[in-house]
Amino acid sequence: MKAARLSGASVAVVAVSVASLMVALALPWILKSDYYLQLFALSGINIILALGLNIVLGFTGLLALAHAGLFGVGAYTSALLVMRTGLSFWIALPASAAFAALVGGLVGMCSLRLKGHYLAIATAGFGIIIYQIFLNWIGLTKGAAALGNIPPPNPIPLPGLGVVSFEAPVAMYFLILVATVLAIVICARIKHSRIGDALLGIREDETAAEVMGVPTFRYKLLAFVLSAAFAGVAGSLYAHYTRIIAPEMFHLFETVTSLLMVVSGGLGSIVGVIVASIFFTLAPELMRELQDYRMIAYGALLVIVMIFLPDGLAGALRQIWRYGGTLLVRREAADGAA
Amino acid sequence: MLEYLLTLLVSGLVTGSVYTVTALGLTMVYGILNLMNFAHGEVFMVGAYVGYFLFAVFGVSYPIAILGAIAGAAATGLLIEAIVFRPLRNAPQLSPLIASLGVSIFLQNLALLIWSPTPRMFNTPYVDQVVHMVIISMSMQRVIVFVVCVVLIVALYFVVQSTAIGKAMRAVALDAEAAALMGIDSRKVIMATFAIGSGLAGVAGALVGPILILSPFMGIPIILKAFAVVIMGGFGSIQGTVLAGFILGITESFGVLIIPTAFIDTIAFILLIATLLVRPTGLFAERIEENV
Amino acid sequence: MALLELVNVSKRFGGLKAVSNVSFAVGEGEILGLIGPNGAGKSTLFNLITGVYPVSEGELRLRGVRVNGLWPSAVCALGIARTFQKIRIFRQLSVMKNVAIGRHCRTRTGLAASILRPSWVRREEEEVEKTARGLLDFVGLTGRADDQARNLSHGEQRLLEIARALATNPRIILLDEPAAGLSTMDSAALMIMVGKIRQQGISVIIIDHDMEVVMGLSDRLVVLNYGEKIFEGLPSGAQRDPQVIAAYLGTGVER
Repeated sequence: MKAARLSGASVAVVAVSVASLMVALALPWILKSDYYLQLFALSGINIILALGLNIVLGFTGLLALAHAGLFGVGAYTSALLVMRTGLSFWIALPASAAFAALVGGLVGMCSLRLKGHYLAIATAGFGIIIYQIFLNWIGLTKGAAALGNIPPPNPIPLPGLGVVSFEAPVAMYFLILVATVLAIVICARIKHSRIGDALLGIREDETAAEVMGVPTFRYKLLAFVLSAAFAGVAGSLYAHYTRIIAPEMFHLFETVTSLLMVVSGGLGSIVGVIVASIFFTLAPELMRELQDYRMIAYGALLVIVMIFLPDGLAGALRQIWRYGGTLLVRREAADGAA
Repeated sequence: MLEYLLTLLVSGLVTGSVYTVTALGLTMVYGILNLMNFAHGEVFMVGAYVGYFLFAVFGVSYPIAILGAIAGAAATGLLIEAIVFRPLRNAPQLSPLIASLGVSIFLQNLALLIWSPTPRMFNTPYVDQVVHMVIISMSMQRVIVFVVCVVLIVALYFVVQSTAIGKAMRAVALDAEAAALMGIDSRKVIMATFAIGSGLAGVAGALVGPILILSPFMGIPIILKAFAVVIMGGFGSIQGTVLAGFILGITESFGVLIIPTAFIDTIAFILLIATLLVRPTGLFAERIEENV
Repeated sequence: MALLELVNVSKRFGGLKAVSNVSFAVGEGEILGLIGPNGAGKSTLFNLITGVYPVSEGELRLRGVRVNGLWPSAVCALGIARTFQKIRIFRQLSVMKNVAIGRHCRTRTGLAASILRPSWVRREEEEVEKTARGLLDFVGLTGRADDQARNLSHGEQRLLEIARALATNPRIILLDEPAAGLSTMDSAALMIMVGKIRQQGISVIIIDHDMEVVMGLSDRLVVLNYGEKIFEGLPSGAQRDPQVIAAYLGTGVER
């Protein structure tokens, strides 16, 4: 944070964050239902996934569509490492993230010479190739028959407190919560740092950023690798939480879902993306009857958001804040607030 | 052996012609608006379904069904232009891109809802008719596909190079402002380009429908390959697109010799990546330096 | 040794030769005016010097070290900064952030440091902010640090570009039509500012069509026409040179 300015927006954000964290910690006792707790656990995973996409798309302006594929890489790598080699989940998790990051880097190396639509298509293609591998390498992934019986994370012995087991949904929920909070903090720190500035500069005007001393290729690649790492972590958690994974969960459609979360939350906004991720995780579950219309709605929403609300929820809120807080005469810039 | 190889070659030419026609529709829109329409594959799909319904359900003759497919596809394209691309004319580049992705998803799933995922068989009488050409033989349907596509490619080239509307299109593609100053109504030109480009995709769909299985998601591999062709051939170049389209078709055809069928679609990608690494501007593109 | 040397630099775009065998040098603390009719190749030359376009032929040397063939970001780190003819600020970002990004090549907080935030990161960020505010004062944008860049007026955006370029700590700064769209009053202020930039030891190459500005500022002039250098020397000499006059100079430019 550049010399922490206590603007009205920052205070509000901190307050809301603390309150949300407290609610999140108390959630298992508020909800009293495993089903609803599961929804929030999945929200957490989706938040991590969407924040990853936000780094490459929201901060850097690159429409990278291989995201669901990288999510799958994290999931399958983690599941297979644990099930085939007996590795502990706690090693498989970072290993999967690292491997996903590597794959993301490779995709980036091949695709980053391209701009705009070309990049989108190339990365979408990579995503589809990855999906095809999941589907067709039956010996490794069991293909469409799904890879089940994935064990939960290994129990951790905590000195003095006994052994923490992850069989119960509540334990997994807290694990995911911790991961989500970490992801949010890391994302926020990146955004408000020299690295984040460089990425934003690339988004705004890549040529100008390059001429002003930002090595743009290196940073774009970094954005790819980071977003893939986030996807890998999310994938690993997902695999060991739901305990069964299948290729269809990592199809281009799921990238579109993440895309919708980022776009409707507000490109580059962390708070917006969090809210949108939770919304788009809960909504389809709570509106089960409308399941058939889900993707139709998502497609239409993407169009509607791009035309009417291009800055997403965060942008809309910023407008309201600006007009609501007319007493605050200073005009906030688009990068200071969360 | 020779028979087999020749069959592969001819088959490759057929698929190549379809890819070329579809890609030409795509590159036309790109030339004018500087954006890739993700939903182009769905326009292809609409063409296939409209052709199917007219022919197989309403009993219309095949040529008329094809015309109907063109109309349906063109109408879809114009609708997309009006509802999605026109409002986003002045938005940053990412917006129409994401929006067209949204349209693509929307149309795929709308088709899924309306027409259900049951694969349909679009059976024209030509699928079973066999044509013998010297040592090889193939279905009449494929011959028709090839002939029609080649005719369309030639016709398009003629239209773009020599007719008034073609010149107007090229003018707007090069410099929309200057074209407007010359009295060209760029809105009409854009609409015409969309209509023609989508119509081409629709024809391709109706022609290829009988060979493939109809599904709401049939547009996905098509759009990816069309993109690959456009990128390989280079922006704005008809010759490049034609060359790239046929190269892809033939490579895919011979690809069955070495790659398992499930991965045939990846050939397009491999070629694409190869192009990007070796000659990023495509085979024939004019090198357009960014105006700094 | 000259600060910046162009040796037989040429640039071809397909069949078109945009810059043809151009050679000249810029010394330390010198202000060089680069003029010529529209399309003469001036901005192209800036793109070549900063590495945005690769040269087709010739060499560019900064203090004797070859810089052509380097990425623009590397060229910037070596000390060549520029502004753009068509303003290219980071529109959605704040004025402060625009200038801060200019400090990128002079700072070193990496990914790990950004996440873990050891104490020196905070100090570096404060230094960046201090420097940026200083530059905003210098160009006359005090108090605008938190405004969104796209909300600035045209003239203010040009000033912002200059501040951002200065943030990179250049040895030489290339100004591409900095006076375009400025009122006479603002142009005069600009001239004073450029003088101050030179006083700090930074050389300047300035392209502009406002002859009062260019003639008033430049120690020497280079005139381009159709990609070729047709004159190099004192501004007074340019005014009298028949080739330059033939190219485009009108008569009666007051000094």
